Amino acid sequence: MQELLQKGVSRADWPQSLHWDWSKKALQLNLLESSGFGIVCEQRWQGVMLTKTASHTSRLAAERGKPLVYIDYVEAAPWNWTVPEIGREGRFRAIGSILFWRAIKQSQEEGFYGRVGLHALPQAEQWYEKGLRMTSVGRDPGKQNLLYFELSRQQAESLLKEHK
Amino acid sequence: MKNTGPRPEWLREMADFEDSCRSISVGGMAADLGMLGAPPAESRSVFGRLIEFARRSKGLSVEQLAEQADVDLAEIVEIERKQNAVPQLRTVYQLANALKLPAGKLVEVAGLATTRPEISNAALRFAARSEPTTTLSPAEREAFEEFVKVLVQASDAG
Repeated sequence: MQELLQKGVSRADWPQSLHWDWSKKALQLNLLESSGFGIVCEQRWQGVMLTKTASHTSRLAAERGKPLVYIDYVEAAPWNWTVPEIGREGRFRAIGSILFWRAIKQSQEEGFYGRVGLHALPQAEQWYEKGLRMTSVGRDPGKQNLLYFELSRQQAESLLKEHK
Repeated sequence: MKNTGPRPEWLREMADFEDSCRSISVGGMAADLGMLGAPPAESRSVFGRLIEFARRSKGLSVEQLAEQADVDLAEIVEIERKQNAVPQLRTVYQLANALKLPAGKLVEVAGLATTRPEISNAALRFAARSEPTTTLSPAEREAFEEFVKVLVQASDAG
């Protein structure tokens, strides 16, 4: 972040993030339905994800009401961000892909057939829509108008079949 | 132990795409914890433009509107011109009353309450089709009237 400030990169162009701070997020793990996943390399956390398995269900017309794994939080460590404005590449790559794969696997383990849901931050919408090919269900007024995405059972099965 | 991870080729391909995206962050928990801050600025700028159009469509100057709505002149100027202006709740109600717009829905457009999808979509269409000029062109008037229609319908429904 100091590099971004020093290079005068506009705040709007900073990678959107919700702070690499675990003091608040760790409290979420007290809930029975929450699970935490992380990638540790070089003795540091490189990426983390929190999921929920009980409080969210599918919003897709064909699967409405069916259970899914909801990604409540996912983040790559700041040193893994690629930031072209300051010519910096991330230390480790594909953190989001690996964690998302784990979410699909958790969904299968829970008997949810790979269904996954999440609310993307605006800068991450392209990643979930075009990168992971999730279905955009629409903006959610209950979550500050963030765009809600879902991976259907069929999409999950195709993704796992193609890339395992 | 059986490997259940993805193929390395897929990961390499995804890593390139992931690097090209600005972020992978999701906001579910952040929204629940109130960490996302203010609503997007666009809703406020649309609010400012809506007030300006409503005023102009009634042939009112800023001074006249300030007088009729009993709102400070500077506040209306700020609402109409400043991208991130945050109007007072009282001001929104006063303006709604003076301009004959549904107050409850105007509060949503002002970003002071959660915006329903139909209103956000109508606001975006309105923003895309409107440009602040001295008099309303037929196209601007059409955009304005369409937006007000959605507000009234949403008001009746909700």
